[in-house]
Amino acid sequence: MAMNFVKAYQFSRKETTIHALDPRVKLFVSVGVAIIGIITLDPIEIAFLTVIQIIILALSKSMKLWLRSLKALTFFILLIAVSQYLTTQSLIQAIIFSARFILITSATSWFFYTTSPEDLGRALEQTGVPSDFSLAFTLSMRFIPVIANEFQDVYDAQRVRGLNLEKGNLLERTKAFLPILIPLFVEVIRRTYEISDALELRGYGFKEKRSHWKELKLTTNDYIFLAFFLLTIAIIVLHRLYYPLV
Amino acid sequence: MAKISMEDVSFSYEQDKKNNFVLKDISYSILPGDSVLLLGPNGSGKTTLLKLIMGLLKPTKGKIRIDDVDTSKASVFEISKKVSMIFQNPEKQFFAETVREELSFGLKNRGVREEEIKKKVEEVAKKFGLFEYLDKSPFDLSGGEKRRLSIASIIILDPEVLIVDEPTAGLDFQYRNLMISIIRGFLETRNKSLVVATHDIDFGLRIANKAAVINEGKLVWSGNVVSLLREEEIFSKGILAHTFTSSLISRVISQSNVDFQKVVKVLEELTEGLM
Amino acid sequence: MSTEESRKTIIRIRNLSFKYKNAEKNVLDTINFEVKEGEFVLITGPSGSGKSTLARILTGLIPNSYPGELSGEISIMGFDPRRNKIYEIAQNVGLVLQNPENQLFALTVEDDIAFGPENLGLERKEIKERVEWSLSVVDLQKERHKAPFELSGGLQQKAAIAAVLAMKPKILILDEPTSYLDTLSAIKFAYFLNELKRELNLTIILIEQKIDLFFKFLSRIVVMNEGKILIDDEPDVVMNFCIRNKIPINIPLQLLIIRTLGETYDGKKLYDYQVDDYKMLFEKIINNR
Repeated sequence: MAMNFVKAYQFSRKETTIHALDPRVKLFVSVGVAIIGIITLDPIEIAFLTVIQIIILALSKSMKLWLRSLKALTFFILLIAVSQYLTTQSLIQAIIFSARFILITSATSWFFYTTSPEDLGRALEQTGVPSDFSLAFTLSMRFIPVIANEFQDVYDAQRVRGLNLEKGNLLERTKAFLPILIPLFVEVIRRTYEISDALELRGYGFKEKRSHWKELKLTTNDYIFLAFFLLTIAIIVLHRLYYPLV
Repeated sequence: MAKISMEDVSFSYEQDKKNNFVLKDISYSILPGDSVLLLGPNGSGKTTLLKLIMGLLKPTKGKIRIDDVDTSKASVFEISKKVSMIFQNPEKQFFAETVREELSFGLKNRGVREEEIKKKVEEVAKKFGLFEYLDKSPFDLSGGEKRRLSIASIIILDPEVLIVDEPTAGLDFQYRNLMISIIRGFLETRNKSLVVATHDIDFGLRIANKAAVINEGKLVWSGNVVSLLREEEIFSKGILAHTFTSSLISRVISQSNVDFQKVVKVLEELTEGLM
Repeated sequence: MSTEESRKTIIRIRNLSFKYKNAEKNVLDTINFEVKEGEFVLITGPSGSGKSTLARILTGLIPNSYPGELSGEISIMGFDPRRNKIYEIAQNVGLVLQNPENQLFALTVEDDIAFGPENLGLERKEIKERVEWSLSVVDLQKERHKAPFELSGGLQQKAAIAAVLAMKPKILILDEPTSYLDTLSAIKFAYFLNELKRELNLTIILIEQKIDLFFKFLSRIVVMNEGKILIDDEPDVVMNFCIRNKIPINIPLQLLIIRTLGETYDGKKLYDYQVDDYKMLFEKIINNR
């Protein structure tokens, strides 16, 4: 189930205008829409913004990915709808809350479909985050699949020795995780030493300010995209002024 | 004394999407007493096949039976009563505070009595030259000692079938001989079987009597080790690569009909500098 | 002066001893070691003999990241790890560690190759050139956008080498590069490394156990044991020494066969013999028993 959530956010390398946009701009817009999605309760706003997300998704040739992710998230969508209905006895509320969920995931998913992890790292580094932190971020992303595999490997090895994670009460089952967590921890620490050696050997620390071979520069398309976003905000503000939700 | 049979086994990691089969239509049997070399280039599917036999993965198509038990219906816990597996870089599984605890882990999980565990642990520790380290931390041992401990902690379970994944990868030259003697020690008990996945033919020749070659997920050859060495196609097609040693042995036994065991023995004596 | 002697000595080590902090014994004990420009040196020996420690000293990891007592005369292209920082030495001496996984930091191969030059603060144009050059030298252009964990072990290693080469070192040290390669890949790697050396005019120090794969490319073999250098000489001299003294290293079978029969041979023509020649010799041995 958790895997479904992860699958809903995978990068797919394509050549579209959206893919080529500056990751900082995309991050700003995507987060901006998600925030509106969290605070709004107005079905018209939700529908309006969702349509715009769908347009962005279409422009980035990610519709198939998005539909697949909706399928994967069906369980959550229904869960939200049902729990809302049970708490408020209102079918409309249930629909609105589900729609908000769809809006928020759609707004955040096109960001991840069109922004490679390395571009995300670049966005961080070139927005003034100190290189140590952005390196730590990139390294974490780089090694997540590796550690996930290690976890599986250690789990397999201990299962062969008879480890059973399903037996016993809660305390026993938690203790049973130790033979997996300890080796994993040791391995991660060991790796950290090797990585830090390798970083030094690659000259890390030579210059306070590292150069960047792929510099992020705002282009006309970025400004147009931002302009559309600001226009969208303007429309929403005007709508609220003239048609406030009581 | 366990028999393992694989019937038309296919496996794919992606249970829902396109048919990306890592293993296709594998049929093979391992009988008690067999020592099987599983060969093939890196990425051919050897490790996946080992995990399927161990029950860690279940076949997408086909069946694997251990004696009469279908692995897809059995838990790893059940299967681990007859089959054990040593993974690549087995030292990565250490978690205990002492060597003693590490060795006891598998037996404890099986519910073996404390006195029985103590006896077995000391027996195996002596056999593997680890007796003096029983109260030491596994993390304080040297590389060779760690390797011995990780193998001992599996051998102590006394499996009927031992599966080993790339035992010599990344291993120092001097430990190869150690590995060979450990494996030969295991096989001394009659009717125990062994499946070793490796790309190190020189090592494999010395411990196996049968061989199966996997390439791109398919079983492309099986037979005994002597026939493998006479089999030119597999090597010329680049599925397996000859080392100087294996090509020499291959020529000697095919062209001059010298007994294989004798050749291996003479080679071992040469490398140990006895001549 | 012959061409051999006229080559510059770029590494000179005299009376080197080293003990890790809080350790009881010396890991290296009065080592003398020299390397001339353009050599292909193989260092071998059982584990714990000090090979990797020596590699760490040659790159400055010792004593900068691994403190301890380091004594003796050390000059690596004019640098001394006690005086110079790792990032200074790293622009002249590259080290490719055993496990390539932990040397690839970025999320794509090309970004990883750029990583080193970025650290050096080079101009964007220069970095781009180095990335293109590195990719072509190891033939990894098709994988440039791939993430490290998507690559096989052999390709990861090529990526690590490409990334180190982008620092443009004159000396390349490799620590057991074939450990995790299958037989065919290891054979190909040996040829690849030799080609690389020739094309780029590198000096190579290779820590390895699989001597037979590299034998025909080597200028020298150094055998270490328990912190000391047992012998440091031309490959065939070293092999003879090890056979005579039963040193536990991976001596090529060809040499064992020839030596056992007391035959003479010219070390460099060793690989001109065909397998069938060895077959005849080997059968002689069997028949003598």
